[in-house]
Amino acid sequence: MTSDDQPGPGLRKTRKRRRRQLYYMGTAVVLGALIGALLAQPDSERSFFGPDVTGLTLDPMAAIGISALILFSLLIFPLWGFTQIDEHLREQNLIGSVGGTMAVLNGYPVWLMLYAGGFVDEPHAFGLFLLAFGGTIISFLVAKARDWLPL
Amino acid sequence: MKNRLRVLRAEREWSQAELAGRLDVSRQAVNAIETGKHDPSLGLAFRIARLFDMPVEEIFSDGED
Repeated sequence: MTSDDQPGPGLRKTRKRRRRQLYYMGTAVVLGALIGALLAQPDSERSFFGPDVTGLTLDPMAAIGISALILFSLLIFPLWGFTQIDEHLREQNLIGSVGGTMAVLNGYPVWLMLYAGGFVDEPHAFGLFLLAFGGTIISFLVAKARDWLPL
Repeated sequence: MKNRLRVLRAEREWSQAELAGRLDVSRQAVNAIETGKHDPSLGLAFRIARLFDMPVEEIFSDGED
């Protein structure tokens, strides 16, 4: 800031960027909650979140609508978000994406071996989705933590 | 890579947020560059040089000298 009571042009742009980022994150949370609410069926055996996702049944129009919402939320919206961030945050996002990919590439065969040995349940689609999602979030947070830690 | 960004910013009495806005990047990016946790792209390095009206090599060095 160039003066205490008058923010400089740079600070005004930074505040605008921060507001835009908050709107983006708020929209992402709302979209995630909406998809979760639509997919969470009262009968857990037939839920998207249950172990047997093949039992899931939806009205055809609802299936198309939810698919479109998922495509928008997990593909179009994040890709557009990539164009709005700077190179540092983009690098952290890419580290997150690699972490998600690695989690599935390694997690699935390990899970399958453990299943074959009788240690865990059979691998299922939602578990793999969670592996990808968890791997992405954890890798992103590890990359982000470098900003916070005095290393 | 080493840089003099923090010194140049302090000379102008700019906060990290002020510099970030002038460079059109996040405050976190400025902090990461200043602390050596992020090496800026060539494009951003030139934007920084233009903002401070200095050659790139007077702001950034590979730490070999």
